[in-house]
Amino acid sequence: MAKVKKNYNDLLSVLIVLIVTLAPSISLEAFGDIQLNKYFNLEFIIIYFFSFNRFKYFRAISLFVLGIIVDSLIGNYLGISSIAFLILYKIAIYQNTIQVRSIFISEWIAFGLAIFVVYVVELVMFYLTGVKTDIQAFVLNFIGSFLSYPIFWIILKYSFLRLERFSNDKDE
Amino acid sequence: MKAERPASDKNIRFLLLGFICFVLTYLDYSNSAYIKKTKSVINDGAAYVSYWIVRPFQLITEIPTVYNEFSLLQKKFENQEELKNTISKLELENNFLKKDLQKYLSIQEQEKNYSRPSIIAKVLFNSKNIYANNFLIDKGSLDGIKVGNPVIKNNNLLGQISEVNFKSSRVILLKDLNSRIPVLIGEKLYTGIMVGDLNETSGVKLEFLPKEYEFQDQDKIYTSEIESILPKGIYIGKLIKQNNNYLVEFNYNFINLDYVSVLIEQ
Repeated sequence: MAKVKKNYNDLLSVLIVLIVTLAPSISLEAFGDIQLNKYFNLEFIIIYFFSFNRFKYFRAISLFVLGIIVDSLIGNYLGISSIAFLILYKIAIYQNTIQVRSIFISEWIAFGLAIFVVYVVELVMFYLTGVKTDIQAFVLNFIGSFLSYPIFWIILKYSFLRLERFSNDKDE
Repeated sequence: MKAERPASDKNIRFLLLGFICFVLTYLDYSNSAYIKKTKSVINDGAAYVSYWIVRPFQLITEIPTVYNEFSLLQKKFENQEELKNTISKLELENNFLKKDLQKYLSIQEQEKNYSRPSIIAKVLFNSKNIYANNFLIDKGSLDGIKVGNPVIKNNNLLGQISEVNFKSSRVILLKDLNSRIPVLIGEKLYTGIMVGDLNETSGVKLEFLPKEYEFQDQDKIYTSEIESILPKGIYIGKLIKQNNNYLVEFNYNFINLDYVSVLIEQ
């Protein structure tokens, strides 16, 4: 019987997003009041990238659990980040299924559309639960996330493609 | 080889998880008893686990400082006798402990200014983003903390307890959008509400002020009393006049918080 190879990609991706969530707490102590997360949402970028590029790093259940942890740390009502992550994941997979050619520009625009939907859902949920939000900050965060996607795309694409190639070579 | 799940199964699972998310949000929003204890356990777990994940990174960021101090000490003592080294090491250790004790005692001393008893709490996790501006501390309902308790540092109000778990609590900072604190301003003790506002330079604004008021530069702001929740007279900051506008200047930096005090009910 063929031995089933364990895949730690899911755990790795969850850890990356978790560290990204915890990073502001580290940077606050190390570098003072530099709030990079005010300008872009790295969690959304990573989740979208891994879901769209079908690296099979994420599963719906792990995103659900991750969302609960993020909500618990940030202080949101439980489930808000989970629903945001799940919607982003589903949109990314759907966009990947319907894409005809693999062009970066189309992926970039699709990312913009996906995070727009997610921000709108989040704002609606905050409104319904009576949590006060700063729409201007959300718009700034959306624009920042959209504009910074190519930079993170280059970093993630090359580092993780190398990692995948390395693991494929090892399998062969 | 592991068989791939059919797409319909995945869709059903996705819809089910989405439904669970909405139910969770609703139960949490309605402060349901079903979820209260579970949420406390989740929050406690997340707070302590994140503290232990973050701690090594924090220690790494402290390495340059520790290394500098270490090399200075090494240069200073490398030519001395072994005994002297031991003595100085012990002295250093003693000084460190003394400083720690002094710090602890001074925090306790400061809190004696208020008639309420206080609990010293350690900051576990800072959360500052577009969603919230708060931090988690290592004391909870089992230590006597309740929602609304004021949190102070060096006699300055930092915020209030917004959520209590068993062994951790969330402190909502004055600058958070959802923060509301009744205040007294200046010698004439004008009443108002201090509201967190990201668009303001100081991060807060004053609302519900009387119809006629006249502020002075350097007017001090104190808390106004909310019965059995917030005591009167905790210092918040002062007003600074800038181009016909008044900004609130806090006495304390909201970052790099290590220990804070929570004023609890008598």
